[in-house]
Amino acid sequence: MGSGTGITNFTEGIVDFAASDAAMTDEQIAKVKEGVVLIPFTAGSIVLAYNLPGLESLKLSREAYSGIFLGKTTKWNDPAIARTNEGVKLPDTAITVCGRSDSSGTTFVFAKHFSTISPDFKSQVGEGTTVTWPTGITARGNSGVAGLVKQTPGAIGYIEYGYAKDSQLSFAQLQNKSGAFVTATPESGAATLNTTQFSGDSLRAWPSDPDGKDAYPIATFSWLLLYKKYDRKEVWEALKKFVTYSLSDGQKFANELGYIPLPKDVVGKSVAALGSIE
Amino acid sequence: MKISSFRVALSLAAVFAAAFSAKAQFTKLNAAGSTFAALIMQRWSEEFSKVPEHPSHLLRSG
Repeated sequence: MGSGTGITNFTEGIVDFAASDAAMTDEQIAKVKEGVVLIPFTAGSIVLAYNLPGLESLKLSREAYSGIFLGKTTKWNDPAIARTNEGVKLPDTAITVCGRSDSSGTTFVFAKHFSTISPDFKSQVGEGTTVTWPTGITARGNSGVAGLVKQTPGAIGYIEYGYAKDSQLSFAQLQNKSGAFVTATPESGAATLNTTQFSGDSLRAWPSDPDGKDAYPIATFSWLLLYKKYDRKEVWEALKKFVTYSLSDGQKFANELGYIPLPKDVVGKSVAALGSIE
Repeated sequence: MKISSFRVALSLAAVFAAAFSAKAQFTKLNAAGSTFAALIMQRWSEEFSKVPEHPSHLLRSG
């Protein structure tokens, strides 16, 4: 299960609501006869978790992490990695790239970032909730990729920060647009979200390559997909209570679990959007 | 309808369902999607059920 399945099930009307990090496109929204309200309800950073026993700190330049996921950088002691890790003894171990096999919002955000920073990635792999990785192995869900990385020496995979914390996986500092190497933290994620402006009435936006020296390069909102109108009022009553909780008291658990608390102005917009649902 | 209890089911695959019970009456919510957000959704479901106005049992499947 992932965001892609969430969107499909929501569109087919077989669920009461869904969650997706890929939001929905205008074209997808047009297919939902009840109408759609998209509400940002949480946010998080995507980290590159790796399995190199004994190596707890690693810096990956944009060139290095693009090369790894394109299959061009195949060993951990490749000069592209060594250049930014002076004094670190990198092993002569093959890199195993771990990606998602299912239709995934995490993949969507990750590939969108890559396509922004790497023309080669854009032309060879491209964007979408499902992409064909030039190299590596795949698993379903964030927990599946975390598990693959955990059990595969030499592996690297993209997962939401909380899963790396939960699985006690090391993850790399990534080079951002300004050239700084930044660790995923609630603060660096917040710095990324603060660069993001929703366009018009839409509550959709992705900070594909944020400005700012403190901004972590890959962070995203995640959206609830709700119908504009619920025929069964008891369903909407129940759902509204839960969503209201998640946007208020629920936000206090974000840091602890490896998510980014929603900026206050975004909470305000989400609550307002909730009020438009009948 | 007075809501007297709240239940959330959350599978490991991030498919979740919530059920509100007013004595014999249940409203079940079905949902699917993002594994990215599943960790925090799971915590919310646990914590939400502890709130006195929506007391209750946490159900997990998966």
